[in-house]
Amino acid sequence: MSWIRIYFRLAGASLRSQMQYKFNFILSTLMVFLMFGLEFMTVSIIIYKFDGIKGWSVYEAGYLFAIMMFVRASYRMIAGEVNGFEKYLVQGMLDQLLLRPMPVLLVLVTRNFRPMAGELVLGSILISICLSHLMEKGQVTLWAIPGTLAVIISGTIITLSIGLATATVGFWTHRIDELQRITDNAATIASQYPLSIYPKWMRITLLTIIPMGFTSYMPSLYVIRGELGLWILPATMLLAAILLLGALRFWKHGLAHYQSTGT
Amino acid sequence: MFSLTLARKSYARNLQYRSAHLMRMFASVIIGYIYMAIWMGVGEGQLLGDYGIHGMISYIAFNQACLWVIMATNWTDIEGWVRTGQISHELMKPMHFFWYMHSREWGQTWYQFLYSTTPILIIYIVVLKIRTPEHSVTWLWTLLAMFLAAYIAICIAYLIGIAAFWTTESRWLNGVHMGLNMLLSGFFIPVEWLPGWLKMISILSPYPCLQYVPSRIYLELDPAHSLKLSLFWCLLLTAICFTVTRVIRRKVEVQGG
Repeated sequence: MSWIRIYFRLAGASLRSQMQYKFNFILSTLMVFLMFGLEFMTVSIIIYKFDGIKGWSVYEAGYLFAIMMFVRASYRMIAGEVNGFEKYLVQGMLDQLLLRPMPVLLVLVTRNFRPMAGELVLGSILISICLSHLMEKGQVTLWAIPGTLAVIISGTIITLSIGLATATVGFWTHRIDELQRITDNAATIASQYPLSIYPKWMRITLLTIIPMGFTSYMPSLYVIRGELGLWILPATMLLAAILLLGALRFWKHGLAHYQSTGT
Repeated sequence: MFSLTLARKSYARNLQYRSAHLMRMFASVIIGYIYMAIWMGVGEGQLLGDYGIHGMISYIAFNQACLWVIMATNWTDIEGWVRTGQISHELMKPMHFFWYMHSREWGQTWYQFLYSTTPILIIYIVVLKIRTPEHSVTWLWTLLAMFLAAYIAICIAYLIGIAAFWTTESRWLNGVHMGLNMLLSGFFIPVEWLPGWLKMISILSPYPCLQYVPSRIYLELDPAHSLKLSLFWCLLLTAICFTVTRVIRRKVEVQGG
């Protein structure tokens, strides 16, 4: 059986186990929808009130925000437990995973699988609204739709790679929640807005050390503003592939150095 | 006395993770800076009402620092206890459950005030030259406003945790609470700039007491008597917490464990 089939089978089993608590499952899905709806409302109030942000119109800024919502949801759906990896190291839970007859990473990413329906639906609605408005204005054409799909795919891979690399650091440090606050939380918040609003040092950081600037801002410059040129899409995809391969290799190296906490 | 011991133990437990704390504080400073950068971008060429661009940066900086004293986490324990059945033991403790949870949380709140709020605020004052109160008495009123905000946050966190008696999981409710806090408390947008209907919801909720009231007092934009609203919510939420505790004591249903 291929690893992809195993992934879907394990993820499905995880989902079914959560659905044993039906009321809780439905309520949590609704709550997530509400949670991200509130987050978007907060951002949109500011952008509407001040008519855009540093040269970015309401719909352009909304597009960036929606892309990040989609990317974050896809990452959490594909590999949610990578984001909560600290407990596996601190509580010795990784030992159980090592005993399974399949790659540790595959077992890890299928645990507590969540479909993230709330975020994906909300993200789709937002992207549709923003793109249709930009199309009406004649700023983008139908080509923006496949372009957007490419941005989401490369963005998800970049976010996953950064998340995986951060989790791998835990093989040496054990505590990684706080590091994730910087590489995941802070970088995600920053990437929801045009990078041009930040000071130079922060822009450079977001394009090199933690390259979250490539998840939405850089490719969106071409997709919705026609800047930079078409090359940015394959270049971003190539960067995503390199980052993922690097993160996987780093993970393998880290796993070889794993020492159980024994608890 | 028992309350004080619980608070002290909770404070001591937090002291164990110093390097993790430093990293968290650094992340908080950066996240706050991102929020300020967003306002700098938005506010370019705008007046930004009573605040002005420097006032707005100070407003966000204070809120980011203050955030740590209103980040109560006791709800996570209740959720875990409900799922494992340990809740039956916790409810048997010789202390009212509400005060028991409150005491544990105050130790953490005091720790966060000393090691998160204060250093973050100092960093922003030194590095970004944010506004500080001109009258020394304002510092006292600000401290009182933060104390009441922390009390309100602990009550809300308690109610979120208690929801697990019905839903078995309450982390999603906490997520919604964080979203509401961001939108309605004035953390990121001052309440007066919310659209009419949302402003009304905010004013009728306890959320402005968590961030908007303390930061307006700190910036000397509102007088100290605006704390009456915080006091009102402290009393009302205490009454609600006691009532709900009475209900759950009768309802408790052990899941297994």
